[in-house]
Amino acid sequence: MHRHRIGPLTIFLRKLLNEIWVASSRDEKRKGEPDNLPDKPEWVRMALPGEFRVIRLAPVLPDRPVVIDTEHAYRFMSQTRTKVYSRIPAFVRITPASREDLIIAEIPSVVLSETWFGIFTEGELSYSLSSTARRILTDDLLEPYLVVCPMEIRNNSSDELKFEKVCLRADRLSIYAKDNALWADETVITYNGMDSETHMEMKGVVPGEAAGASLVSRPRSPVKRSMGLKTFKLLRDFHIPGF
Amino acid sequence: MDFFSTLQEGQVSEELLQLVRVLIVIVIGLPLLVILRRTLSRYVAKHYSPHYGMLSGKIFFYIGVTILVVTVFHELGFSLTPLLGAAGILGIAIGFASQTTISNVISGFFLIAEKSFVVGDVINVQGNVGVVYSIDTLSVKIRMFDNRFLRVPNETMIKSEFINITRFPIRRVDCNISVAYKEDLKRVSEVLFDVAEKLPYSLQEPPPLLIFDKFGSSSIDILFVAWTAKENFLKLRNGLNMGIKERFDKEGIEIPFPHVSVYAGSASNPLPVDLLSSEKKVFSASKNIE
Repeated sequence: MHRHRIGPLTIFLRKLLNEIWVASSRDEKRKGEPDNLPDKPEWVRMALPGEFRVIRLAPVLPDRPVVIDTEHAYRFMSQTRTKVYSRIPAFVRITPASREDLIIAEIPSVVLSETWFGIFTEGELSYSLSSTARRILTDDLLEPYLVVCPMEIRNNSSDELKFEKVCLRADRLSIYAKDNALWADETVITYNGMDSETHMEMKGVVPGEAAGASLVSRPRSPVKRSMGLKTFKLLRDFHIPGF
Repeated sequence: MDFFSTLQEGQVSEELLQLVRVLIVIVIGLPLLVILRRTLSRYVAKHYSPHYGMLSGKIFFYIGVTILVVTVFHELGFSLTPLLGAAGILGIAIGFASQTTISNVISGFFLIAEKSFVVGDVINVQGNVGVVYSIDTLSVKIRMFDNRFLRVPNETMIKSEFINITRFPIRRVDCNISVAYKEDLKRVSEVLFDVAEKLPYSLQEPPPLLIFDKFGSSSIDILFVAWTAKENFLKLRNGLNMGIKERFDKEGIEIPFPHVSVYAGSASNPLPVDLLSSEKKVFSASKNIE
């Protein structure tokens, strides 16, 4: 049996003929060494179409959009641009090294809370990130299981932009690795006013802060360079009597 | 004589041929129709929704059956014009005789057009909760959660109120909680929000809400609500109720039983109680009974 620790997550792997057994545990207090196998591990058995000797564990971004809190309620004046960083806990994708299309399991390194991004009658089930979006990123905030997502926010409208949360389409981002840190490609979010769509552009290249980083995983969904999407949470949505 | 016998034989063989053609149309046409209907239903259900799958299958089948009937009549040499005329007169007669049936058929069209619910939705019809199994010509079929089968006539569905439980993507879980009068409500509130926050399927937005309900006879009554994706409703309801009980026990927050205070005329004086043994010995005691 093999044990691997990724942040608070320990993954246990066992191989039996063409079967892979996967179990996991989390311990946010301890660091370093992998956990011991729990007393009653919940093994998931997966039969593979052949015997694979090498198994690959790769970080991927969550399978749903991630709603990120800004550090404080932000107000952007007209024609202002700013850059914020958020850190999203990676999921660990387990595949045979030679067949990355055979996904054995995907385990979140941190169990993220769910949230709703939209109105009562329509919207998207998303993950909520309790860690806030920051203006300044220091080395001590880089962890090998947290993917740093740089976002440039541009207010191209003539109005003031107020927002508390931003919905990041994580499934359209790649992950790059450099010096024990994980980076996603930069996202440029352009706000064009209440009556126009907000444009989200994934640059699809290594962000400047991580120049020379190597690609470790591609986006889950095909990258559309520019999308018109609902990105900023409109405060009035949930503050009408939702009771 | 030979001529007549030949003519009769020719007529017989023509009628036989006609009959064979009709049989072929029925024998091949009907199963083909059923197979195509099933294939179309499955395809549409897979690519769009089970509701549209059912609907497309039905439309295809009824059109197919009509074409088949017209073909059979045509093969048998019937002209459809007098038939349609007769059908008009017959229709009025049948209409009077089967008002309920026709009302159900028409109601069915309105139900489908209105789309208040679709196949697969969970609905509550007059207290009966279940999953919509099919919307048919005459009735809506519902599979109840205890696996009983409920048939509601379309007319009844149109006339009565029903609740579509799964229409919207998120649902609210309500927890009615009572705490003792001695408890610190701020602490109770903190514990409740903490329990909700620790459940990953309790949505952060819309946020949980605490509503002070009333000063009850034995307790302070609170309504605590949290939201979840509709498919996690039961998970959250169980998780919240079990989590609240566990945390209240841990924090020493009392969930009171109903209290009844009995007074003998005055609130200040204790109630005298006499305990009688089986040997009729008399003991005296004074106790406050609460």
